Amino acid sequence: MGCLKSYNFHDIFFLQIYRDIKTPFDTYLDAVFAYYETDQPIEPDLIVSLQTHHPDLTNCFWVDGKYAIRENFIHYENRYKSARWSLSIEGLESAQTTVRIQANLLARPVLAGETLISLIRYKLAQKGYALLHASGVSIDDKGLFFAARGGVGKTITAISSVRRGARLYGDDTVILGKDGKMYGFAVPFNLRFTYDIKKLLGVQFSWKTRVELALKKLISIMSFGHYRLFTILRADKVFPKAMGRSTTLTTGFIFLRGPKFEIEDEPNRSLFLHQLMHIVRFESSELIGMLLAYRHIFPHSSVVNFWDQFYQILESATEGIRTSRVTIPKLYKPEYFENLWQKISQCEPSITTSTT
Amino acid sequence: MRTVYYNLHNLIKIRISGLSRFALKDLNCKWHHFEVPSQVNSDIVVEIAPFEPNLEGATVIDQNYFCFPNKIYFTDSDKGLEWQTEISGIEEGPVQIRFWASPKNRMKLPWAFFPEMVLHLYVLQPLIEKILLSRGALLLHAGGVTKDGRATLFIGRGQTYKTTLTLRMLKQGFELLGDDFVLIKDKKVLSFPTSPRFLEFTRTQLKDERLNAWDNCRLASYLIRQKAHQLPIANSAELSQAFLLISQDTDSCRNILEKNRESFYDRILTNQLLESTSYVSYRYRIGQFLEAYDLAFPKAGKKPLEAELMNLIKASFQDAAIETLTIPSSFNKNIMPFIQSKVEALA
Repeated sequence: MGCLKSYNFHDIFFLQIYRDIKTPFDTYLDAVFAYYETDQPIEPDLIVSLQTHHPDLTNCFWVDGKYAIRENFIHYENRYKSARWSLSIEGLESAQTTVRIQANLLARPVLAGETLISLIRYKLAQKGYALLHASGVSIDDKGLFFAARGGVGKTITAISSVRRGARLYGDDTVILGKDGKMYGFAVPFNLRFTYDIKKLLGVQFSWKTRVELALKKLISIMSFGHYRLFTILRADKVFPKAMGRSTTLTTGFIFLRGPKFEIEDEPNRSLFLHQLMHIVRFESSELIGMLLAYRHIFPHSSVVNFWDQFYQILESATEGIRTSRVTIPKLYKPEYFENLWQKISQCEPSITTSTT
Repeated sequence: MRTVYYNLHNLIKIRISGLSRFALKDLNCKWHHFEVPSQVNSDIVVEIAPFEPNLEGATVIDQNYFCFPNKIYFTDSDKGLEWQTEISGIEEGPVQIRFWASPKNRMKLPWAFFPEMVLHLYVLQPLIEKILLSRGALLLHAGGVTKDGRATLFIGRGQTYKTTLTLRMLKQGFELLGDDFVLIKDKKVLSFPTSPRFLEFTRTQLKDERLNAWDNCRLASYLIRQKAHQLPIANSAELSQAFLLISQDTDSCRNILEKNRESFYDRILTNQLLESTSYVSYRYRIGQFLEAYDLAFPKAGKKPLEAELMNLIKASFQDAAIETLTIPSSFNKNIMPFIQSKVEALA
């Protein structure tokens, strides 16, 4: 029994995911891009197929005994704890790429996290869009993004903004276009470490979700915080009226975790971009390794300049926007958001530094 | 507790203190070829001991990397082994490192009994690569041999039989420069042998590089004896020829005709960069702490590492005879004669 789903990301990117079997481990995979699911026939840029397969690797080049490479093709295996999966990417440099993934049960929830996002990042960049590791909102059709590594406060900032009337484009990833536009890429909220979700989101949940959250909180307390089960909360279900599709980018923020709360403008755009690149590259170890291996065998291929192209997309996407850097201490206090909100609401760029 | 001093061809001086009494030279201090009795003014001073860091005022990346101006503290882990490191002087000045790998994790992997191994691979190697680069020297991932003062390099990723070829060349009267690393400075190849006793064991006691459980026991007893090695190690040689090896699923070697030297240089570059992603677990890259520091304190007008590396590669290999070869993914008897004929033809 196969299961085929098509996704349309704002008519700029089309994804198709096929699974030969449905397993109970696929809940996350089902939910991750559900907001962009479509019934219309599409011409997919990326076809992901989870199935048993035996790739033909004769005459392949091998890098490190890990990557098997042919013209326009790459195959590799990966593992994370007990999760194991192997990928065969066909049409790496073509307009349409087909990825066959064979994953054990434990790998299925892990897959969407980095592997799929990496592949989508690669395909989007081919089409001139950058998938940024940031949360994005818009206020009066002015787009803002908050780029950061995990655990600094991307999600909380985005949710707090939405509760003040902003539109949401994504709490973990957004798409930036060369034309200076920001497109939504909303995946389920990344709230693993926060169990008081109700207070944060300010919405009423159904009794089912409430019981689920209470149980998970109990497990977390009983195991002294050792086991933290994360909850799949689809952004479009929590804030159905606040979902945004595309907007004009006006401001970019980089969040860093530091000793005291501080907002400073960053007039040097190349420094800002340099930091953005680091944030994205930290997230893409798998993609970096794969592209390097392919480049090692085919030094004339189109993937050689991938990261340069990515930089150029970011450069033209952030052309003329206001750029700021925010330092946030470990505990995200509501007054930090107040300060940030003031800064966001100001129309003229200013160089004042506010400290609490 | 023991202290060792390394002097890497007068390019970098290192002092490591706090080594355990049971430390085996080849496993724990794999650069012991460069050991000197004592020296002053070490560029890198390492102290292996438990320590409590002061993390106040840090810029934190990923809950792991705590960055301060010119200093970084990080706890890192790979495959279940955790270690903590503090590096002061990461940007300028003498480098001081405090390092400790918690013994509570040592049951997880046998080699975790040797925290110094972790220190060399995950901390010192990326660090000296960066420092050497700033001093115009290239730590190249390649096997190298020399005869009559002319060096032959075998550059390639894992499983391209670098070590095997290097060892077979020694039998032909060549001298060793390094089986995994060599240093290149001003078009001169400087030797960089890592774990020479280990290599000697492989050369004299084994048919190929693969170790089974019995071989591992023999290796342990071989290393515990701690005798001096008998390998012919040269100090330096002129870079005269370099082979880039690519593993392919075929039976015989063949040439890849390059359109220009640029693609050869590009392959060397990717060969260097891939070292950080291979052999380590998913999501981890060796030397990530340097990137974390760069993210916390970006420097205006700094050249990207890739460009700097490329310039040095181009300058180093400018005058060398070069060739790109594919090598079968399983070693067979046709390979060695082919390589030898190539070495002679290029000389």
